[in-house]
Amino acid sequence: MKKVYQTIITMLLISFLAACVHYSRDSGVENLWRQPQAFTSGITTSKQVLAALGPPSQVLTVGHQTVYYYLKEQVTREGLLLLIYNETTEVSVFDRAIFFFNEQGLLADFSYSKMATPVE
Amino acid sequence: MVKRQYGYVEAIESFLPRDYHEVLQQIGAPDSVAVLNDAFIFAYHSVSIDEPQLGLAIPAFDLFKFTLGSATATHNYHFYAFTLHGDIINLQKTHWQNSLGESSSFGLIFVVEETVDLESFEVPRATNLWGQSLLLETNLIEFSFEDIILAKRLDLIGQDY
Repeated sequence: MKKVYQTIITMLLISFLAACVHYSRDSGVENLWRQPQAFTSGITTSKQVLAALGPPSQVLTVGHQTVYYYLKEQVTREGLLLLIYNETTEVSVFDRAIFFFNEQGLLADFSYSKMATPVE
Repeated sequence: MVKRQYGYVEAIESFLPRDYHEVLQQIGAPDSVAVLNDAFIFAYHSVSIDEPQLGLAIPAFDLFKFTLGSATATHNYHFYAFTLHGDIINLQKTHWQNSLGESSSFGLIFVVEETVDLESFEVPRATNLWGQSLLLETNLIEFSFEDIILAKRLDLIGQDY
């Protein structure tokens, strides 16, 4: 009987032998737009946006407007490795901000990406 | 089980925006922007991939396993086209699933091996190549980066730009 218990306990211990995996990496610009900023359409200038957020990831021309587009990519991978079951989840978050400026360099409109989870 | 999530598109009620301001307000900054001769486009795209696997122990090789797997991608895609003045021209949102294939792998028992090739989902976004592409010597490069520099195409997740 003792041997049976020992075997069951050993099997349970082996089944729950676990390892965890976690890594993350970032690319793109720093998402300073998630910090408190005071941007106002019609008042804020492109120079003020550059001073606050730094160089954009991409600059586009749309008609007579100039667009500053910021992108930060965050990849996080988490895994649980058991002897009888493994699971890994990788989430790539594309945190974005876009700013439209008119010909005078004044902010026409701006927006940030909607996030599923809070981003650091 | 291997799960992957690329991007996020918020579930929203159907709405009919008049211009890009309303789209920015409702959905936020787009995932990709393309600028054409007489229009510009906002694309919002997210992909989630589920890859269930079955690992089989190999007798006499305790540290190794043979893994069978298949992957399915679920896409969520919103498309908005505007005139250069910002008025809406066209819009569409759609949701679909597609199989990414079935395959197998051979590896260590403590390592989660991917059985399906997902390399196309791991390439850098075109936006993050924009600055780099400006620095390349145009006479030496094999491919023109004009499409990236001028944002002539949409950069969709999992599709080569």
